[in-house]
Amino acid sequence: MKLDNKFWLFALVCIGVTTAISVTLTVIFWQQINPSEQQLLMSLFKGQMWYFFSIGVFLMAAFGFTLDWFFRFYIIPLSQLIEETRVMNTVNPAHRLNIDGSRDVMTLSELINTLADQCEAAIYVIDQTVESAKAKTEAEKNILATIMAELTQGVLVCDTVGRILLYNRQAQRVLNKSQKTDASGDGEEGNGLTPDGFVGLHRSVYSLIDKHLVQYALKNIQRKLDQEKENASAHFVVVTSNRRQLHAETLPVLDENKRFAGFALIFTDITAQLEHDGRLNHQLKRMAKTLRSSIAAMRSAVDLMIQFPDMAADQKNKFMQIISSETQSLSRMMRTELTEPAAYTKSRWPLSPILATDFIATLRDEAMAIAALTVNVAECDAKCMIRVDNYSLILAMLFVLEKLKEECKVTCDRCRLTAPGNLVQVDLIYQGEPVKIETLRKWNDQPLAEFEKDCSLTLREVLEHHHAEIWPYAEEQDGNDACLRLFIPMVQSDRASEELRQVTLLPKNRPEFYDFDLFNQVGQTPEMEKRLLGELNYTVFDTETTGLDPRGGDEIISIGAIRVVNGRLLHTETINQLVDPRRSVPAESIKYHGIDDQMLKAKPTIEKVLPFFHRFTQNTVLVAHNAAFDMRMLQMKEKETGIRFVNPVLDTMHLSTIVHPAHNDHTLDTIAQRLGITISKRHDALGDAIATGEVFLKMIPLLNEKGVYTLREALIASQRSYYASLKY
Amino acid sequence: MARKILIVDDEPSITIPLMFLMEQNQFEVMVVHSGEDALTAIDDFKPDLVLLDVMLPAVDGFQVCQQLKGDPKQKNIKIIFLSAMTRDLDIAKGNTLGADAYITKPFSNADVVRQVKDLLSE
Repeated sequence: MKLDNKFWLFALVCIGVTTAISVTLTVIFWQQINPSEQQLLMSLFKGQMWYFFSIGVFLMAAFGFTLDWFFRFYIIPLSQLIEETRVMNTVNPAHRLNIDGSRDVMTLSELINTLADQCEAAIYVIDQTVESAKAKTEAEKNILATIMAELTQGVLVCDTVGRILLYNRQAQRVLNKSQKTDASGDGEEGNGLTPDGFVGLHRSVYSLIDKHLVQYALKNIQRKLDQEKENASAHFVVVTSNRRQLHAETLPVLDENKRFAGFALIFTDITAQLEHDGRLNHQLKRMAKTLRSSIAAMRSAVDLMIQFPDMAADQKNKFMQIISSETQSLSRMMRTELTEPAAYTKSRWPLSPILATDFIATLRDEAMAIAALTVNVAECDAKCMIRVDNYSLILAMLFVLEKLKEECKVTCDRCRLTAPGNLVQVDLIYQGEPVKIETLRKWNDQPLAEFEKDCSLTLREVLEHHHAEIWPYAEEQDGNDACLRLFIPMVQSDRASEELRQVTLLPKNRPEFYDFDLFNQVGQTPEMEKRLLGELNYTVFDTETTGLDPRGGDEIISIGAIRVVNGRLLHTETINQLVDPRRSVPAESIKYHGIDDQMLKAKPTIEKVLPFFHRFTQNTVLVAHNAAFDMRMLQMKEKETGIRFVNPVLDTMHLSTIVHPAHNDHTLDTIAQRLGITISKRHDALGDAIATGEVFLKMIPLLNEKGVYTLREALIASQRSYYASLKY
Repeated sequence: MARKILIVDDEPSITIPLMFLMEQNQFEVMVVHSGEDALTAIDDFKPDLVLLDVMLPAVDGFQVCQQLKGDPKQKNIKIIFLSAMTRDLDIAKGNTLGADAYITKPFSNADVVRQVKDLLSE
């Protein structure tokens, strides 16, 4: 309640109570005296009415002045004393009371300040001790951070539901789906910001990688663990939106009871290597063809000249020319092709050996939705092995089944496995015409993404990597039967799969190099409002604008945002984006934030920035200072961009009135000063967002002291705050 | 009457000796250098056997073979692939399409003549 209102309420209550007591006493007195005394009193009162009235007015004035003095020198100072002592006691121990009030109140303030000095000195000693103890841990943490940062591989550690608990910059670089980012890689000041997902603490890994792919890997790991294998990693290849191919090694993280506590993903960018392998293979094929053709021509010509020594001279000349041109062609090849170092390195897209029958069984199970396959295993050794990346090859087969159904209008109902010679053949049998080779080649160049959304490898890429091919089978066996045949090389040796890593077990005592509670986070609940304020993830943001009138055409020119996870501001997960407002910035606004038209040239427009910001804020609570203004600016763009921010919103200005009701000033600068926060870059969107974030984090314990623990309670308390009535 | 052989290869250094070889063995020979020309020539020349390279520009040898073996009127024409593609997979692909033989380059003239004669005597 505002102080003035409080005073008048207090005055009214005092006057009311005093008047009630006076009237009651007068009535009782009146009834105690006899009629003649009453008559005497009345005549006395009538005769001397002016004196009685003057006494009454004097008494009321004296009463009012006393009340005001009491309120100003005792009630208000005591209220401020309580609030400020609470600040000293919780978030800003350096704060000191400087309260203007009665002598008693001021003495009490001085005593509290003395106590605070002593307490601060004691805390300083304790802090020093704790700091030196923490320094060692911090050094080890830094070693971990350095190692993580310097790794050439991207690392993500996730909990069981796929929330990212730990990541390094390399992972951020390869997985953040922005087409163009600056050097920091966290989306600052980029112009082409159109990511589908972000690498960030507590964000879902499934916004970056197909969920089925990860789950398939985890299923594989679980199977290996059930078989008590020591090496239980799984591999897959993921393709990013900009066609980078990443090899992902999945490692389980088990708790002391060998139960899944999470998993680690280690990414290696194999795009260059695969391209190199592809070039090399192509070169080898070309060389082999040239070599074979040249030798064939020369051999044939020489044989004929030997066989027919009496052939006509012009015929002999032709053959001599053939031999001459082919030797020249071979020499040319030796000079050009073979000088390039052809060091063939083994591809890092790993293939694991499995039983061909297991592959067929998986295909049958996975294809249920498209075709009910009857599996027929013929001419095939039960131990016949093939080397595959099971997930991608199954996906390729499903793609083909889908294509048969959609384009050729046939449904495959039988699957036959044979293995003559060195090739394993998987036949998809159907009733109809054989598929044309040119149709198959068209399918080969199509991404499997058509079938499985997040995987955009092409059919050719998958097949070539397996040295496999899908081919029409023309032999008519049963009437109108035709089939598509997958050829895949049989594994010749019994070499075990290349799995080198040991299963990671969490030790009973946590590793010393990090202290955050990685694997014991509360699960994401849909009832966000019931969650404690300290548990939630926030996006604290601020906008700079061309002016203060959203409805009058003022536009956003800068958005700054920072994420808050587990009560920490994540300085690596920020947005600091200038926006082209497509209008000029008024001079009076430039004075305020320093952003002029020149700085906004060639920056993205709000239509490009808002989707990016929207995705950044997903599953978080929005926090801003005077959020009504910023939200109104965002809402004004709803129709234009189709982007609607439905996140819960907390306003530090409202929250300040809850924790400090005795103070009238709730500007960001004043609150920050009160809570002992220094704002490094005022009127810069990111600078203000960071300051607001720090203010907000310091407010959480103060809100708890006021009985506000959950988001719902904070929202209700905010609604009651008189600042909530501000509209833009 | 001499049996007819169609030679399909895009490299003259292969077709010239092959043509001479087949003519010396009393076959009537026609040479074309692309898959498209081969399909036309098959209609006009009506060969008994086709010596077919795999890697041809535009329409390749596999496509020519699939078309021939898919046509009831022409499916009896014998096809021998002559190819520099020598993997098991390539040979299996040719056989799957119904080719009668698959000879890898480099080849011996005697082997080619023997295969041709064997197939034409069936």
